[in-house]
Amino acid sequence: MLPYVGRRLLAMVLVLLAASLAAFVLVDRTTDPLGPLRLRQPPVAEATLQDLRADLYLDRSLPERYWLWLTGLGDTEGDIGLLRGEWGPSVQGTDIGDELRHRFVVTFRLVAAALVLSVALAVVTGVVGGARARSRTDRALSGVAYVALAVPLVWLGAVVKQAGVWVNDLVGHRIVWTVGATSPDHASLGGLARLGDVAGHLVLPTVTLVAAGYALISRQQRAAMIASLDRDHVRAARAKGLHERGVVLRHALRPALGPTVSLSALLVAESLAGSVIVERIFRWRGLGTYLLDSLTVGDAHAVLGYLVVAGVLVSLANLAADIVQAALDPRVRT
Amino acid sequence: MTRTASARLVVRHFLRQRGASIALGVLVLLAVFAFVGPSLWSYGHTLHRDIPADQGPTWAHPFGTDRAGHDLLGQVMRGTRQSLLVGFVAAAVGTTIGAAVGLAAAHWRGWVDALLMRLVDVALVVPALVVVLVVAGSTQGTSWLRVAVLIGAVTWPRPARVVRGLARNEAARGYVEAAGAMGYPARRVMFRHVLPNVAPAVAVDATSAVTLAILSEATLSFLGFGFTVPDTSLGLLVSTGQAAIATRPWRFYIPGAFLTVLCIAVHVAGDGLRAALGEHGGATRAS
Repeated sequence: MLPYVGRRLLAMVLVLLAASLAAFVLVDRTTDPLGPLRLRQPPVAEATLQDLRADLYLDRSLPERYWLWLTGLGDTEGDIGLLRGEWGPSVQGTDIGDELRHRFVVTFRLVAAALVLSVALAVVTGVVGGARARSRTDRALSGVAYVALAVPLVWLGAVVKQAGVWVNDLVGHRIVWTVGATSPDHASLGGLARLGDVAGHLVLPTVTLVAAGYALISRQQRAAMIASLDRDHVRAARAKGLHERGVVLRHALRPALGPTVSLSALLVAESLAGSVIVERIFRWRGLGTYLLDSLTVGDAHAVLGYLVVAGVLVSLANLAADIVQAALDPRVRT
Repeated sequence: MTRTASARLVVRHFLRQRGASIALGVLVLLAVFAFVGPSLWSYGHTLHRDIPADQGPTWAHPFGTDRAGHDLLGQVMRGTRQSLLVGFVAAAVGTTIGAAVGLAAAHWRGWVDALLMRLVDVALVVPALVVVLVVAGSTQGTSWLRVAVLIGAVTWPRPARVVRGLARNEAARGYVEAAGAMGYPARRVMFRHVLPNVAPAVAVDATSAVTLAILSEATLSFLGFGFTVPDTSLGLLVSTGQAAIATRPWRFYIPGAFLTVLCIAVHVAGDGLRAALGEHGGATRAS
């Protein structure tokens, strides 16, 4: 097991390194931090622009810029060098590291909650649907999953938010929060009230992401369940007199979980992408809105910071999925 | 069985499924609405100064108007057209690039395969939507072709993996070995023998690529990075409509409904194609 993990870890690091180069070239080619400034009225002095260019290291060559961004070794002001913990100078006037840290916590709880609930819901509906294939329950579940898979997230999010507002109006006072990740007075709340505040704001955005994400895994789980229930060892369990629930849960389920595990890794990437949309709709100050703001201004280092965080998250998720799969099925560990 | 005969069988099997046929009908209707509609309807998607602004649905303006003076029906027509164009062209571009990469990897195997698949891994490190956002973040004044090529150029990794897997399975089959033994050059074997047998599954994958492309374009426009004023898109209409959802709900729900129906129709049609090909996909053999 350990050599397998070691090999996968090494592969992950190499892929991330290659991806960092590709990302750097991409972001460098497509962002222009000085562009918005040039269009400003009254016009910004050319000398100021040149100073800014030097501050952002834009007067260096591309390979040198990548090297500086990654390692920080060379002629720098000490504010750049990913491997030394510096994210680089930002155009938005904030420290990129601080922004990423604060916003990561916000986005992480959304993505984590959505992931856990999506997988749980998907496994439950997939198992129930598969165990009772072609029954009315199964058809209803499949129908819902089918629609959920095809509905666009941008529309679903706004609809969910509006439903929350409607429910609030109906009841008379606020029972679900529809805007923001926390209330404005969050810092002044006590321990338990704080937790409740965070959880309350999480409800609608998580519901949105779960609705969009569970369907893919649910269908796969159902198909795997149907295939698994047809296998010989399940038939043997039934023949020896085991009750149906034991057959389903103890013998059929474990081999059927494989595809779900690898799809869950895919779901992390999907939820991360979805969080960008959901954060915009519900006006959270998370990583997603940071990416959007940075792109609008052309803040290359901030965008790169986001890509690094996102890339590491997705890679770790894939690695975890591979490890879990190897634990579930020893034949994988070649 | 000849290729045309089995193609006809696939079509018949497709049409026999009620859901898929309805979905296809809906798609055709939407296409007519989007491409023929503007010539029949008196208002385009651009600004009209002489129409009453900020109105709900009336007979003169069935979808209502907005505060600036746009007719929503004209805008929805335009938006549907953008979605259809971008969706299908982006899927075509992405699937073509992906298929080329996948076939190359399956054909040459060895280090070429390893290199290309590492490339796919690198490309998949970050979610596709994020990459599209980063690349689109700078391009202003976009035409639908640019958006489509952009999305296609970003979404090639998934079809590449699928095609590589399929091509490798086919390459292991007897007829490929036989063709090689008969002296056919490897490239000819790939294109004239493997590709036609892989094509049905690739077509199915292409339909999910269409759904993804439509959603990507809508999301891009929703976030302000795709089509912008003076052009329009269903995603942009949903975004602006969302701000007025309580007071002027038709500006949000109507474009949203069109987008959702479009996505569901493509999805159902794709599933129908998969079911139709599943019965006969293996029967198409190169002569």
